[in-house]
Amino acid sequence: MSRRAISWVLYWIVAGVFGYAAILKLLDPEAFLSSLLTYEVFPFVVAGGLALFAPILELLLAVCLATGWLRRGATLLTGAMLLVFIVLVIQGGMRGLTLDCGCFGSRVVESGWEYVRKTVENLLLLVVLCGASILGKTRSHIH
Amino acid sequence: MKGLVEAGVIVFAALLLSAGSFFLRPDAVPWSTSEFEIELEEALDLDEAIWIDARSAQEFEESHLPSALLVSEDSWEEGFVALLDVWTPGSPIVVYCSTSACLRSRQVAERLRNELGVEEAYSLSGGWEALQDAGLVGKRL
Repeated sequence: MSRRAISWVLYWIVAGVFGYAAILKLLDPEAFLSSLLTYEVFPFVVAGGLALFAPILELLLAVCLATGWLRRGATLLTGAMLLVFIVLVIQGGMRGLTLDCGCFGSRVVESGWEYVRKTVENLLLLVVLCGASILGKTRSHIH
Repeated sequence: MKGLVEAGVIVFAALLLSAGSFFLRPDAVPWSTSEFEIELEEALDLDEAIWIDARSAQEFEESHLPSALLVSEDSWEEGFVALLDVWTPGSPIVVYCSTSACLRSRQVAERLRNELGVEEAYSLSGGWEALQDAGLVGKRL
């Protein structure tokens, strides 16, 4: 399999995860709002705005990553979002909060192990995204 | 640089779509928790209030008010039947969930107003945390 093909597959993996998460949130925005509030970072109105905006952004990113359209921008934004997710989960863990991560429907993150697992999941996704980007760029330099 | 411009285009498109979605369904998410919300002091003053725990079954098992019934979105039917056994028309209902960030108590209070026609169904401000802070956990209210 060529580097370019591997890059596409890796992008599709990230797009699949983001697309699936976005659809669940779009189907039940109130549940996502409830999850956002458990992070105890956002004021209520800001969380309400995010509950509408973030799933749509995630869905657009999934489409862009999967199709290759505006992919550089989508890669930057996806990486930034994953970093934000990681920071949010870590701050929740440090404050001893019981989070509903809101990632794929309702999922409570409470114990230390669950915080570590959620952080590692996001880090893995970030690594896959970086891998896709690097492999894609390497190929274009060869050309 | 190209990546940043593309990122801006995506964010702008997402903002436009979000605005469109808001105008199509402005009530898709609540914009205030104040509706149906009641402060702990006011809740304690209610006569013969029925207390409802809207947290998860696991949290309910770990600890709950002795008089509280478990009625959550996940266990709606069982909880609703148990509530009908003790509720008499005119009795106020106070629903609590985990924290002030939790919306489940608001959802349950709203559903009780709609499905049971209870005019006095309230969501407790501060939830379980407020009850703990007030030292009321373990006390029959």
